[in-house]
Amino acid sequence: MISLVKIPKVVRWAMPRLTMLVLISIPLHVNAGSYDYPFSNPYIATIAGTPIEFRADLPQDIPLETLTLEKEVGPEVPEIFWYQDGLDYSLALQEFRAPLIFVISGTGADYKSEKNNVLLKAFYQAGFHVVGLTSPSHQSFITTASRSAIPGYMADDAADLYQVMQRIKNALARNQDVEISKYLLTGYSLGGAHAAFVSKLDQEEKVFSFDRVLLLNPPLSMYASISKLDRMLENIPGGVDHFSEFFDKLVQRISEAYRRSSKAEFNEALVYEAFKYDRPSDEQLAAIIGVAFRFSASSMVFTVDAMTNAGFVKPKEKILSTNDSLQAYLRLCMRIGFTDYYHELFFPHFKRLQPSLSRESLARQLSLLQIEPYLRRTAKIGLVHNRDDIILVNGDIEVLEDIFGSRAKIFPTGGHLGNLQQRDTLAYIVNYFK
Amino acid sequence: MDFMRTLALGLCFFLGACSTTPKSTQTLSEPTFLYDRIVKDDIATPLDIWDPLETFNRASYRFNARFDDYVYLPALHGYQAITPDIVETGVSNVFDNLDDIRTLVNQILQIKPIEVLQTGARLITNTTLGLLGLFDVASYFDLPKYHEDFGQTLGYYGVSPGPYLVVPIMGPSNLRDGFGDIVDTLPVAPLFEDHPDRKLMAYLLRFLDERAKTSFRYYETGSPFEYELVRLLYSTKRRIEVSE
Repeated sequence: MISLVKIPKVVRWAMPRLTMLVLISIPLHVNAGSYDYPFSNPYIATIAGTPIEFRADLPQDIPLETLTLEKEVGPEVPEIFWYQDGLDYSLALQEFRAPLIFVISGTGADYKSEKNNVLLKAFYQAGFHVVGLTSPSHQSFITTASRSAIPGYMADDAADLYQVMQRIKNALARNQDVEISKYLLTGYSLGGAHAAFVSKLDQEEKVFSFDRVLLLNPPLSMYASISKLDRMLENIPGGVDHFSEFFDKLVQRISEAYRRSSKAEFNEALVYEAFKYDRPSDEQLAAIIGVAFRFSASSMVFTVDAMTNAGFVKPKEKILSTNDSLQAYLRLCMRIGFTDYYHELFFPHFKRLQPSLSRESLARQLSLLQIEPYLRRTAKIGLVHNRDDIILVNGDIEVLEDIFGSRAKIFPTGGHLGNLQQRDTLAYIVNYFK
Repeated sequence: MDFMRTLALGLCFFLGACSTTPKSTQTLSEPTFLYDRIVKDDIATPLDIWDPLETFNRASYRFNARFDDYVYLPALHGYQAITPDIVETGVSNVFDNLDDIRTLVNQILQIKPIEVLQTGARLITNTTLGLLGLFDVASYFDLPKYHEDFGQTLGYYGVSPGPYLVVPIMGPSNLRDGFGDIVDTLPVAPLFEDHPDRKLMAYLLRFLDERAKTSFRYYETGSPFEYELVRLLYSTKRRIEVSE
């Protein structure tokens, strides 16, 4: 009998992660000292995360419910996205009066992403009500909760998120059994930057009056981070034209591990095995991260184009049907960088709204520097980051340390969020809110 | 199973009929980034997977997503709610044991003597000590569990995958593996030959068990290119399995 079983379980985590998830077996360099994290290479840290023995203890399960907000704003959803019928979020409530914390996901991630789940479990364990939110850069948010359907402009994203959070707050207010003592806010990666802008907005609107806010590994400048990630693709040996050979080599390596393996089941452990003895180079790792990022960018760019009929990759008048092949658009988007999207769609859109806008001033509006005075003077906002985070460019970490001062906690290693599950990291994050 | 196959076949025709779209003659304005200017068609990408039936396959994929939502997953949740976990595991083990018959046959066809012995030992252990497969005793003895099917056997002897297929209800496949799956039902079919009721029950349980073992959920990748992604992953996975 044929069946869905033939789709590997890892499919739901999307192609890049298939190769990425399981690099965990790479030799560990245990470093002494109180911060016990094994990878000093930021690429490995980013891809492999935290091996089990270094992780914080978390509950296996928490009583998470998935709830949906119906679409109320933004352009009509085209037929090809028929499956997007509302914005899901996750929620777990304590049975007693407790603080409620919102967790905002990173680029392209939804409310049930792995990192989000780690944070929700940790906060729930600490006695908070928890709400997991999808990133404004995710297809589901773009199609059902964004007013412009053009994500990335921090002030707009923050306003959309704020709207979503208020709707959740109102829904909870109708539930007599829920007692909320105060509101807390956090987010990781792009979600960290979002949290900062939401907090700023809340300063004026005062719907939540967040008690504490923590930014986890945010980019300082979105534009700089995006350009950097965009260029990682150049690490493919021979350039992007040779991606096929690069991919074939990865597959071949996994095949060899499969032949060697006595278990002979195709699963994550096998990919793990494939890279155990023959560690990939930094260039290869950067290329894998670059490809993963490009795929996620492609998904976002195409979603925006189809929602707004901007004529970016799809001819404006073309109405796609659910049976139309999207292969050509995928191939095209994989070829176009995120920076191209920024210059050819994003900037022109905002230039129309604000004729005096320059590229430089737009880039600045997508940076934490835009709200620097607010971040400097607001004692309730903290920062957790890693000195070797690969999304930062030279000098960023010093600027962040300067802005946040004693409210900045910088770990020496961990890459981009690779140490999120690490004991000391997670303990610091949870304790920040206590 | 015959019922399921007829149903699947009927759906193929139905979806095929629904999936013809009229060609538009309207002239379109040029997008900022034009495929012909950016993409070098002569350069291979892993995304190039032979999919001549794409229109049908996409309709089928969409149908499967709805079927999953409205029928398959609710049925699975119902089954899980009324069945104690221990029974569920037992049922699952019985099917795993039956799968070893398929694996054994294909290991013989691929002439892999060591694996044949291991799978044979596994099958005997679980059928006897494991009470007709109810308990997976073989795993306690560290007997490795293999997966071989007729699609892999064909691939082993050089048959190419053929066109990609999304089979209604069943999911991603290709011509070679789809054919292989039908062949793979032959060795176990005689077990139910004279018991039509038991046969129906067995297929139904099997159907639910397969879904329980698959964590995949439709449209959760957050990508408009999920169809392409699943096609790539399925094809790559089979390539690796066949290479063994």
